[in-house]
Amino acid sequence: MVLTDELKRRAEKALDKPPRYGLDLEISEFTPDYTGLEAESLRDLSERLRNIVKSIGLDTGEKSVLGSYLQVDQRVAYSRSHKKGVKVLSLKEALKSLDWLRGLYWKAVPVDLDKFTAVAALYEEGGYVVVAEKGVKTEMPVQTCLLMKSPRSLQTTHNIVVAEEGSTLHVITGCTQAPESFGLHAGISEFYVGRNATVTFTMIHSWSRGSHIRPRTGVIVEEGGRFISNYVVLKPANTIQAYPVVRLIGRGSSALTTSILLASGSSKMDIGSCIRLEAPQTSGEAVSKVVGGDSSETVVRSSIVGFMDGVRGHTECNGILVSEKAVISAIPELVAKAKDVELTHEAAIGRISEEEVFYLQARGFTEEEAVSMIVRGFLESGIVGLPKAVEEYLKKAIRETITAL
Amino acid sequence: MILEVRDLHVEVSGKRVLNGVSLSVGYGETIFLLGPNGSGKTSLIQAILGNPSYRIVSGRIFFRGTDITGLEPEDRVKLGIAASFQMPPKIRGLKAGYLVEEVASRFGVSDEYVEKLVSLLRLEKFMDRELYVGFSGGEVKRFELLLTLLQNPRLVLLDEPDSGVDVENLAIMGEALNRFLQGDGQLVSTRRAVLIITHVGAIAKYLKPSRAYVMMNGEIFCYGKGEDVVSQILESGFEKCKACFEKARRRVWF
Repeated sequence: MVLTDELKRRAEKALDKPPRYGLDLEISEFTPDYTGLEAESLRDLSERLRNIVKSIGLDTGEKSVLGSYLQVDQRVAYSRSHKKGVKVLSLKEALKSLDWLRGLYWKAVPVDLDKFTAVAALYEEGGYVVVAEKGVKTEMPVQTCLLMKSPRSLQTTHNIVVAEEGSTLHVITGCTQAPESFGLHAGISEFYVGRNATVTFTMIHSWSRGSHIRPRTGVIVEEGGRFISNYVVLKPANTIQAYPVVRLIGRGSSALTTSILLASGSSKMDIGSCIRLEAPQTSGEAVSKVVGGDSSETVVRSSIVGFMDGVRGHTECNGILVSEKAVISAIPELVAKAKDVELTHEAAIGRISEEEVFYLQARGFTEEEAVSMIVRGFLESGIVGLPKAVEEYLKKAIRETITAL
Repeated sequence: MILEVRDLHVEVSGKRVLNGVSLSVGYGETIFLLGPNGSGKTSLIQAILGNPSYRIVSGRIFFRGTDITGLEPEDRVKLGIAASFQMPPKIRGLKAGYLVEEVASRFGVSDEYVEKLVSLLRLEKFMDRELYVGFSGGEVKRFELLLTLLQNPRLVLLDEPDSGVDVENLAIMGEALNRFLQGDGQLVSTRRAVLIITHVGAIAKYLKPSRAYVMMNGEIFCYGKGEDVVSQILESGFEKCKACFEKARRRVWF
């Protein structure tokens, strides 16, 4: 156990604290499974696991990535970096070898935010640490994968990503599970973006219909730093609730958070982000693109809080409904705590455009093909600010999911 | 006949837009459909294409002898009807080049022909753009014509290819259409036909109509030899045509 007594005490006190948003869950219905495996290479995985991991686009040959981390249920299966200046470690290893890391541990996410942070702290076994050292600029991403495979599994993980001064780091994460695992995933992610550093974080969630997902994410960006996240949900889970909080504490820092959600089945999602403009000349943008299908219910939240004169923020939600039974709610919030702030929002939700569908039919496509092309274009147009390889990875995932619908 | 429209009555949101339109297009013909704004020309094209917003109250549409009145739009397209829309929708995120590839492969058009048409219509630099996002009026018309011709159709329906288009764009489009009618692509020219909607007649400089129809208030007012009708309209406008029609109608009634 690496928790201090103080953190432990706060976590224990929050064990019954319900989440602010989304459905509450009884955590005792899920059990952590520590019987996972360790692998020398991602190629050593069983064929079945390898196929699951590949299905979310991960490169098991590691040719197009700088390093990888794989966690199966509660066990760290693999962690390695192939690039000097970029560290990819398990949290336990990292806390032993990097003495400065303790200073960041639980700084961006409060341990007693709710029962999910509390349980993640108390059960903490897995999690990755990725560090880009000062001035190291990379194009290729680091890939991480969190996989649940045991039935009714409780997976907790605590990830910390650090981009030191002047570095550029791209992280892609795939979260998935075996179809028989109706688990609960409580994942903590802390991001520390240093002076003039850039981090892009691309997460593709591909859970199965029975799962409950409760990530808790906090980001702190220093002077001139930039944080870009793309949160992508392509497969229906049972419930997902996520609300990362990005704090821009350094002058001129900026953030762009994008949620790309293909809601299907009977999944209930409550997803958003909060950007806090705490320093002069900071700017933030929160964008959501939602496709509501089947009987899915999606709540999209965004909050931008301006604390200083001269900061700028914008939030945007676009939704299209492709089913009579689907529901999309957009809840934007703008908070100005200084006189001279510029905060704007726009939202548009509606049925898929009949005009566009008919136009493509008149070009020879069936109605279903036309809908797929429009949905794909709609979701892909949300992807911005990523290096080419990551953009392609994301577009491929969207394309494959929509083709399979 | 390649196309025959018989006594077509059409409604949009309960409002009558076509009142008994009959019209025919023969193989190898270039037909002009003239008429002022709001006369029902676009409604006729949309009804031929099978747009579900245009409800056919009565009448029939035959394509190469087959009744297509109840067919799905994509099935009409498969039979060989293709249209250039007057104002096609912008589709965000849909790459123009991707649509070109998909349409070409669906209609079995060779890569060489695609390249030839793209270069003839000067559209090389638009392939990476989102469909019609930020396109100028002339660029939209040229791109619509490209997609239409890539469908390797027997019958081309062009909805106002000449409105808001400068002379240079019009000349490029006229050349592409003439080549198409002369048999560029895969089918022979006599098996093809073009129906062009225009309210200004500017395209007539580049494409000679064999016959022309004039529409007003959802009805065909008159028809005749292409050049005669076009020159009459260009000279005296639609008002004279209307007066002539009213006179003819009186003669029938009284």
